[in-house]
Amino acid sequence: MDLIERYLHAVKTHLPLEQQGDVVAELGEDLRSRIEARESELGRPLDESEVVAVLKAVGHPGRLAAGYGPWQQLIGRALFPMYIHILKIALGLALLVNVVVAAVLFATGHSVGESLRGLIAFPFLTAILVFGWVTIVFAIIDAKVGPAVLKDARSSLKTLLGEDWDPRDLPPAPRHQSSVPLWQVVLDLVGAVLLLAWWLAVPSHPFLLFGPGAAFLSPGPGLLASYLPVAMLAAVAVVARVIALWPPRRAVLGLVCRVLGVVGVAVVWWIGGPYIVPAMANPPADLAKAMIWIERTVTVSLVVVTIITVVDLIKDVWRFRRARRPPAVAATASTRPGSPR
Amino acid sequence: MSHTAPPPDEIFENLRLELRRGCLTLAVLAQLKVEHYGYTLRKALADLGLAIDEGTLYPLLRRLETQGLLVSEWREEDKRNKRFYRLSPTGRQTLKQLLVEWQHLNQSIDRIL
Repeated sequence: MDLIERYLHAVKTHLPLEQQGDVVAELGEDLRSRIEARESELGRPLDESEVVAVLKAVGHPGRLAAGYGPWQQLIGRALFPMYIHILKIALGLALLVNVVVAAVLFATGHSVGESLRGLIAFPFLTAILVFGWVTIVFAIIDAKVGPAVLKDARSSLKTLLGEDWDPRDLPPAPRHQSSVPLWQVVLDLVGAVLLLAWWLAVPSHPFLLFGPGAAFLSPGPGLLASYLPVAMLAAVAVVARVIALWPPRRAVLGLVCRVLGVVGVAVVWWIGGPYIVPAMANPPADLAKAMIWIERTVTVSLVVVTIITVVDLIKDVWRFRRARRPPAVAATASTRPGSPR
Repeated sequence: MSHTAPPPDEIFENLRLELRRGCLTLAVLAQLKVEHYGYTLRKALADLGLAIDEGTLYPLLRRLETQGLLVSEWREEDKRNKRFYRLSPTGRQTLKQLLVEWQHLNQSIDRIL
């Protein structure tokens, strides 16, 4: 039954989040009923090749999932798996080019800011352009050329079109629904370590917090009082991220880190300002005036960060609960919206 | 600018799918006068000569439910959770209207042929 789990997981990864639970539960039930019926016909369990045949008859996971979404209006169901495949490759290549360019710029003596400019703009410019062009090209192919012509053009396209796929090539399904991919956990851990290192380095290197303003700005009483509690919370977050490297508690520990983030912001908020003060005893009038604006900016930033952190936490809790919830067994009529097409 | 027509088998396939799409909706609605879950519905339709794959049936069921023509519920049967579908009162009414239309169309096509 491992093949079925892998197949269902592959379908799930192609579905919108709000449909995943219901669709996978229903499809899984159908597949198991189908296999059981075949087994009772034959009077023996199906072997692997027979299960493969059943799954191949159901169709490529991406193609099957495309039937549920509203997006196949622009790009037809037959081309959709190939569209997604090419889009991922194009975005990956574009990101790689940006990373290489940034590395070359940095190595040739450009400033960090100049070197990272392309990478920072990637999600707002390059990724949108790549997405737009790939989508336009596929929409034209779908409208003018037709998948049948494409299919004949090159036999290698058959795999991408979902003709020559094999369920045995699908990646294994995670053992726990609530688990998070390892790459994401590692990325989160790197982020948590960098955050802790940055925070610990701030007292000895104020430049890290104030930038060029470190020459005339110092941490205020609010920031100094927040220093230790925030450092402790950041350290706990690192520990949680390290523990999260081992399943199955990844999603739970991710939530714990989110809560720590909310607590950290709340602590800074509760302690109150002033968070930043002038470095000299008698600041010039211009700096004293600027300090009012700086303090206001810090306060507004805290409000924004609090809102973002709380919204992220609510979203994560919702996703976590949803991923863990089995389809309702109680006899209540489902009112879950489907996919209008 | 010259326009290349699609190959005849592709034209046939597209027309066949168009023709089939409406018929499937009618067949599914008619079959759901009695409650079914996905697998038994598919099997019942296949036994009556109308095979329908999972990738077509389940999105269709969702769409019909969203339109208020079907209601569904998750229930446990044989120690497994299954989603059972049946016609809603609106679905019953719509099916009646569609069957009248279907019979009218059938008679007309028969006369034309």
